[in-house]
Amino acid sequence: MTLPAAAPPRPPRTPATAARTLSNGLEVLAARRSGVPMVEFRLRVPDVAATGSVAARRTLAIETLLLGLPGRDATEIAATAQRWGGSLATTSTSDAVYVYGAVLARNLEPMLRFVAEIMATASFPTAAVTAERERLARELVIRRARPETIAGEALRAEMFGRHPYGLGLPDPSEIVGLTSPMMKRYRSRLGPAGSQLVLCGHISTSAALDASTAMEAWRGDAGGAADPQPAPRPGPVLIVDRPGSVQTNIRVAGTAPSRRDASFAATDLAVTLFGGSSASRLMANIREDKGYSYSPRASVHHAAAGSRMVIAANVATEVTAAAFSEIVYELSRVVTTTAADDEIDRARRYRIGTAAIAAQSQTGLTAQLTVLAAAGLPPSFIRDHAVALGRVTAGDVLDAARRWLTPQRLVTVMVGDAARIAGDLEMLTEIAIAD
Amino acid sequence: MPAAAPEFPVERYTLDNGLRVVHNPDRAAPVVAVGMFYDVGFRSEPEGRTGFAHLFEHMMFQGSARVGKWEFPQLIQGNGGSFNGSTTPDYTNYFEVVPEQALELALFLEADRMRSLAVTQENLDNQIAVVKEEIRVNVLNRPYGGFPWIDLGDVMFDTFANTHNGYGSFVDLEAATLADVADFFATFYAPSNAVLVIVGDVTVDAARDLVESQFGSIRGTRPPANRSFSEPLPTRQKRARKTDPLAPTPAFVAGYRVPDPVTALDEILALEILGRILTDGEASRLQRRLIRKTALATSVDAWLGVFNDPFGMRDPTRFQILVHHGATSDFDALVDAIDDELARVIAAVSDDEVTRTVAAWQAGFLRGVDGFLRRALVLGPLELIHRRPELINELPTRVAAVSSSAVEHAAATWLRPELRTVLRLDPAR
Repeated sequence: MTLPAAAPPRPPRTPATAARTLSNGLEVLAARRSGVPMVEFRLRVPDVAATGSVAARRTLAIETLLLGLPGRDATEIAATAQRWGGSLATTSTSDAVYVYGAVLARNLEPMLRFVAEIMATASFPTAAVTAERERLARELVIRRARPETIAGEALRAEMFGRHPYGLGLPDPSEIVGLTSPMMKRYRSRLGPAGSQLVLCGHISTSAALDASTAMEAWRGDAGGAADPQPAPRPGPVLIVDRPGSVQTNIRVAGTAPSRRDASFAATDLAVTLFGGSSASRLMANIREDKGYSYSPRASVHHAAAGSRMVIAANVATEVTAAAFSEIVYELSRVVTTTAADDEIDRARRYRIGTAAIAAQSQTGLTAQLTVLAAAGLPPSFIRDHAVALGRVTAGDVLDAARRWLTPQRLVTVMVGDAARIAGDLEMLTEIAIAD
Repeated sequence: MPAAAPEFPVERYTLDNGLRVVHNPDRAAPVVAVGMFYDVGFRSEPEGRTGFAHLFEHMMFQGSARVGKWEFPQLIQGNGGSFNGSTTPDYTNYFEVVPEQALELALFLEADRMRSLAVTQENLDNQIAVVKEEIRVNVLNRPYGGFPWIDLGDVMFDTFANTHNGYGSFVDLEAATLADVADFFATFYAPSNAVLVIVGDVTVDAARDLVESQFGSIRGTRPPANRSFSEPLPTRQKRARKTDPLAPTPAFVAGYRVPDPVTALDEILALEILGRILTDGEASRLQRRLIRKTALATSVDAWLGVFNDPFGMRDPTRFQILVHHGATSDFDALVDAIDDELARVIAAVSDDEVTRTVAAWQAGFLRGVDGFLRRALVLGPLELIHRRPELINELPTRVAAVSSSAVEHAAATWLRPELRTVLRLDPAR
């Protein structure tokens, strides 16, 4: 029995979509993905929180958005969605607020009408706001106790400073004084003009677009985008002391190209072969060879005002400096030597094949279309990017790595037991202990 | 109004060596998911070797006769796919999702390691270190790490299979030897102790030819004897406490014994709906009572099985209610409030409450089996544990048959204080 050979994966087809802009300015994108009789919906409302106090209002507002309408309480709102075979939830990023869920295809129209009613008239009952701000303050304490959260917050602050992207979770003290009128004022920032709605599932695109007109009763303008993110200024390795920590959360990060950048496809492959998959150099080195870490990863994150590359490795406290030196070594190698063609081909096939796999399911295709809509890119980008990946050469990968992965341009943050890790790290690099 | 029941075609056959195969052809996308399920989980690992079933899962990626260490991820990802594995109380699974032209490769890789796992001391030492880092990430360095899945069984049950830590102690992990690996492999990793699931873009005939050619020549051995992990129902409530030095606020879990999911599936479905009525969303009773009305709790969740896998565990399994709460919230008041809500459920659940909860359950189930890989991960335990993969099409209809009286009866029968174990988690200080 010999190893079966497989033909290279084919770039995914461009999904069949239809788009229209409603009379209230809401941009709707519909895609058919046959399968189970469901439709996914993602409403994205651009809104940037520029200060901690706005971020606190926004956080409480999205937690209380579904808790009241004129004449209907939280139970009735949730029960209504359940009866339609639907789910309804909210979340946010640095750039936008999302209202999202899925519903039985035959109930898409009433669900969208309901979403519009919520956006236009959510009433934020005082009792619900009061109970939720207490609960949320306690939840924020729990979230801030997680080492991954601490590392993420420290990295944002170090990379972006006072830019909105530098803001982390709100402080519980900024939540306690918030009131129902403040929530209503915040809601009035969230309008349809400039917002996007993605619909994807077991429904024709024309039927989905017809259903979307149920949202035209909602009026107003959405917020804008943040100013371009600042370029990080690398300083000493910043250590956030967490006494007694049995691991160190290492984060190494820098600016990455946007999807529109000419170097994006090559950067995608450089990051993939460096640390973007289970078959990457980072995994080979600090997991499969040395056993320092369970799941080290490098990935690119896109936001409206800039993109970033983040390397994340959680390593045993006693091997922190050794693991860091291996990460720097692998970065040095990827920016100074040309990768072999077969390694690049494997990274290429991984990225093309998994893009096609992700598009198989309704939730997967919806996620792809939603991030593209947010970036102002057409659905054809899914295929175009796969085709671009097919043309990347080893020289392109080296050029992209030199531009984006050079260790001297990257910011490093570590969360760990400073007393146990600082000494060894100081032999490798300059360090600073966070206040 | 019930959701449409799915109509996934399910082919099912058994090879001469005992390998059970479940195939759901679906030509909607040029993708195939492969799931290999072995009938062994951490309830089967020997005393002195806690965590071994999971460590063994890692060893399955370390090489086989025709596949060297480090080749597995290169081959799957280098051909456009992705993969992983997981270990649960009653089964261990390995799965790949690949472009359809890489199906034969995925089957070859699964067959080669079933036939001829080949690992070295160096690889074993390496993976013991990796597993220790996994445990540090998920348990030792994380607030509420492993709570309640690791801690609850220890208090609820009496026998090693049900009480021990499935992630394992570092002492036991470090004691593992290559002989242990060989024994475990010989005992549990035979074709007659496994289920292969294929979902996606391949015809029934083509899949069968590939399966026969890759797996047909693996020698059949007798499957391990059926082992029961059952324990008698308790006669009185148990209470225990643990301290989590990383946790900022307290929590507790109430774990209840429930019936055998294989022989009492409809009762399990009633408990599924009951769990949603209690804690799923803003319309649920405990969210309203403990969060919106009294603001005592930070979160409340309920689920069946150790990992919210109601159809992936045999007896004994459990139903649990997990509450996170503020330092000043009164624990006794929270438990009393739960008992009071359960008494109200037993007294009366409205038909509307059941109907809308069923509709939401059905929609969530459908959404969960739309992706080929997720569908394969549902089909595997339905064959392995329930021997009925067709349940994937039947469950939405059977859930719709759950009546308000069935929910009331499930609460009255199974969510009784004497069948309950309450484990409190206290922050340090």
